[in-house]
This record gives sequence, structure tokens and C-alpha cells, in this order.
Amino acid sequence: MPSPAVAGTGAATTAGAATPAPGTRPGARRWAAWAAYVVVIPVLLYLTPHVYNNQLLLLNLVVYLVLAQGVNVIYGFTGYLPFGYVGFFGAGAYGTSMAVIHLHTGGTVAVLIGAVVSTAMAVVLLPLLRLTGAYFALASLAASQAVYLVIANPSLTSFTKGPYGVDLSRVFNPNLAYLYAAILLAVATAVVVYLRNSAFGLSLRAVRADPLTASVAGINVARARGIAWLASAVLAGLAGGISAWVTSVFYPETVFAINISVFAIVFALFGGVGSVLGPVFGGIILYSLYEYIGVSSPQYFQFAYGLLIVILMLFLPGGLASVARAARSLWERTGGRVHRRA
Amino acid sequence: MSLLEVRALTTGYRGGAVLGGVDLDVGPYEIVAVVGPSGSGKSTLLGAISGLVPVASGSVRLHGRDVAGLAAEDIMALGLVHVPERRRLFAGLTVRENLLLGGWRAGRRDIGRVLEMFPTLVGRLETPSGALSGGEQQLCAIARGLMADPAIMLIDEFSLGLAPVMAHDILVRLADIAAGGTSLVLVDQDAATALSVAERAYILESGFIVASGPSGKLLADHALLDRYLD
Ligand SMILES: Nc1ncnc2c1ncn2[C@@H]1O[C@H](COP(=O)(O)OP(=O)(O)OP(=O)(O)O)[C@@H](O)[C@H]1O
Ligand SMILES: [Mg+2]
Repeated sequence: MPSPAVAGTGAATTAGAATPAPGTRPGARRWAAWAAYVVVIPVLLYLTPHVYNNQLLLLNLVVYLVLAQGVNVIYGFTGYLPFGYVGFFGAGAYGTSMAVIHLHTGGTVAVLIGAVVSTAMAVVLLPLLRLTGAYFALASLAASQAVYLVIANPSLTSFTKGPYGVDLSRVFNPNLAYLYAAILLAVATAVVVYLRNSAFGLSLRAVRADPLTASVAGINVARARGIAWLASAVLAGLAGGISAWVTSVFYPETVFAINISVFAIVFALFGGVGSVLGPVFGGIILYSLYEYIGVSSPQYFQFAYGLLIVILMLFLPGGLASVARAARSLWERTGGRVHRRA
Repeated sequence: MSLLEVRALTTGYRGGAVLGGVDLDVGPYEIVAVVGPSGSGKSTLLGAISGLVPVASGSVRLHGRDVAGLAAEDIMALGLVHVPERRRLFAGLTVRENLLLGGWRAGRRDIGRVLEMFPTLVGRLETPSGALSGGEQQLCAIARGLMADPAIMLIDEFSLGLAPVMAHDILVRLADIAAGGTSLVLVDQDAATALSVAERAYILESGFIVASGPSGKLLADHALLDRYLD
């Protein structure tokens, strides 16, 4: 696959003015590559339970990969770091639960209702986007904890089951849930592919780079950010619903745990926000590490991941993806030199 | 009817009033300069016209339509492009992406026309715009503005950071741009440079227009220049 970043410097001089823009109008071959990214990893993950027989753990992984892509959408393309991202996950989980318990729906419909609930929450929280930087991060965290406190409130027990938790075992169907999770990962990755390649995605990156200049370039800044915010909330809501469906019995603190935000953010940052596959690989690597080493002493991991966020933001804002890009460009450059000598 | 007609425009920030009732006109094919000392309100004036700074009172008419109070992106869509000072480009994005963004609202994706005007950019299309030299960044910002094919373009600090050769290059290009149907409002602290290309000019001092007229006449008035310009 030709790399626009590398091909450009040399080729642009000869290619002239009217060449279609790489990154905005990929050719058929590039689309095929993107489609493969979107489909192959979810399919592989979907088939993994046949070789590694722990579907629950794998489902948890896929859910985290979806959340990491959700963080990618909102942080990677708009610069808003959503420490309260778990709020959408929890809202999706509880929306799903309420649908099962009160509306007596099946799992599929319940998950969709969960997504509607998390989207509604995102709409209510749209004004948070007026805040910037750390203020936004903290306000989104506060909002997610406020929702948690309402749901866990004992006086709402008849509706939310309050602190006593919910039981969805009536609709338990882990195989179907796992299929949905894999599909959702494909959808989340497709969203990122769209943002990487579309004019709308370009406008989001412009907003992230400089909102003021973006607005004089004709971009409706609030609208662009709002769409990314809602998209990330839908992804988290669906992930929360699927997760709730499979977890079956859980408590408010299970699905509103700040850890969930921290993990999703650290996976995304480690892999590289703004890239298509970075958050997926970052998530697979760190989640496996966590499962391998961390089970016995999870408290160290929470600390380590907190530290990792700081280190990554300071020293490697592009994550693994930027390392991969640098390595590839180095490889292509040295490869070129060898070729010329030969 | 003039293309842009500003009347009794006042605005300010929390710190107080900055513009105390500015009148300004720009006609088709015209190049107009706004000069004045640092802090006199030049950038604020451009921002108030383009929608970046809220207007307190007065009117801004574009093609006869009052646009005061509209959002910046909607004023842009009506044919007025603002190239703001300093923060001109989307630093992490390539030159090509910057140019595409300039045509984003208008749905223009053909960058060939502006590249013909600014051939230096052709070899730099895939360069992150933050890695360009100051002069190239300014060229790119102007080129990006032109992508929308605006009726009028406001350029803040257009000669800042340009080597003299490049400044001359841009000046020549600006004349072409105006002749091609995009009127220009140039803001600069370097009055001599701005007045050398503009047909008319306004001198802004502490938020008021203290003098205006044909550039030649202003340039000849040494007492005036000594009093208001560095
Ligand atoms: N965002 C802002 N908030 C508060 N005050 C501001 C803001 N921007 C400018 N000012 C103030 O408004 C006044 C006019 O500033 P402005 O930037 O318009 O001047 P200028 O003529 O463009 O100056 P320069 O030539 O240095 O760019 C100054 O006193 C400045 O301190
Ligand atoms: Mg200024």
C-alpha cells in the first residue's frame, strides 16, 4: 500500500496540481486495505474462542477495544480527553438493564435501547464541550459520577435496583453477545476509517489543531465536535449494553468504575490516537499484559496505567502508531538508498 | 454599492472598549490597507468583521446584507475570508490538507488554481504546515483563503516574518488576486509596505479612524505618518 506521507515529498513535485489528495480520496486499493482492517481483526477475534477457550475474557477485551476506538474518535479527532467516558458505558449498561427488567425486551433490543440512553446522556452533556483541556476532563468525570450516584441511590431501588444491582440472567446469551461485540468493533473501526479519510474527519482535525482558524475557514466548530462526541457515546453505550448483557449480574459500581475510562484511554494513547489500528493493537497488548501479570496484583496496574497516561501524553503523543510510522519511513528511505546503489 | 460597508462599529473585550465607532468601505477589485500602532485595534476590527469577535453595536454589510452577529463560519460562507494573525495554519496538518480545508465549506477540492498562483507550495504539499518557514506559512495561509474563491479577504499582519524578496513576491501576487475579483483588506504594522500595494488606507489609532484616503496622499503627509505610525 503506498504511503501518502512518504510518497508525497518526492512525488508531489512531479505529480502536479490536480492529483487527488491522498488521505482524502483514496483509490480503490487503499479502500480495499481499509476494508481489510475493518473486517479482519474482528473476524479473527470472533474465531479466537475456538482456540483459546475463554469467551468471557475475550468479550471483555473486545469491549475494551471498542471503548479505545471510542476514545480515539473523541480524543484523537477533537482533542477532548474524556475521563468520564465510562459514564456512557454505564448509561448503556443500565439502559439495557432497564429495558430487560421493565420493558421485558430481549437482549438485542435492550442493547439498542441502552445506546439510545447513552446518546441522550451525551446530548444533555453537549455543553461540556465549551470547556477546554483539564476542565473538560474533570467535568466529564464529575458528570459520569453524578449519573452513577443517581442510579445507585437506594430511593430509586424500585426502578434502578439502586445499590443492589441488576440481574439479567433471563436473557443471557453469550454467543450472540460475542458476535455483536465483534461486529461493534468492526463498526467502531469503520468510524475511525471514515474520519481518517473523509472531508468531515479533516474538518475535525482542523478544529482540533485550531478552533478559531477552523471557524474562519468555514467550519461549524460546535457542530463538528458535537457529532464526534455523540458518535463516541453511541459506541460506548453499545459496548456497555453488550457488556451488561453478558455480565448478567452486576452493581452500579461495576459499570461506572473510573478504571474503565482509564483503561480505554491508556489503550488508545498507547496504540496511538488518530490512527486506525493503534487503539486496537494497543488494547490487545496492554490487556493481555494485564491479564497475564495483573490478575494477582491489580492495584499496581491501576497506578502503572495512570503513570503510563502521563508519560505517553508527554513523550509519545502519537503512541505505537507513530513509532510504526517512523520505522516504516526509515525502512523505506534506507531501502531506497540500497536500491539506488545497486 | 460597496462590497463591504462597516458603519459605527464598536466592540471590546472584558477589559473595555477597543473600537469606538469605525466606518470602513471596500469596493470590488480594491485593495485597502488598515494601519496603525500596536494595540490600536486592527486585529479586533478584522475579527469583528469576520465574526470572530462579537460586535457591540454598528453594522457590517457584506453585499448589502448585515452580517454583524452571524457566526464566523456563516460569514465565511457568504464570501468573506479572514486570515488571522499568528495562528494561521493547522500546524499538524499538511499543506495539502490546509488547502483542502480552505475550500471545505465551498465544496472546492481542486487545488490547482491556487498552486499556479503560489508555485513554491507545489513541492511542499505533503509537508506538515508547521514545518514551513514563516514566509511559506504566510503564502499557504493566503492560498488556503483563496481556495474558497472569496469576494473579499482580510489578511492580518501579512508581511510579518517575510524576507524582503518574499514580501515583494506576495505584494505582486496580491495585486493579481484583487484584479482577479477578490478584494483585499491588508492589516500591517509596517505602514510603508501596506500602503505601497493598497490604493486606499485607513489609519487606526486607539480604536478610532484618525485618517483615511488614497495611499499616495497619506504617504506624502509626513506629519501624519510621524504622529501615528512607527
Ligand atoms: N482576546 C482579547 N481579550 C482581551 N483583550 C484583547 C484581546 N485581544 C486584544 N485585546 C486588546 O484589545 C486591544 C487591541 O488589540 P488588537 O490585537 O486588536 O490590536 P492590533 O492593532 O491588532 O495590535 P498589533 O499590531 O500588535 O497586532 C489591545 O489593548 C489588546 O490588549
Ligand atoms: Mg494585531
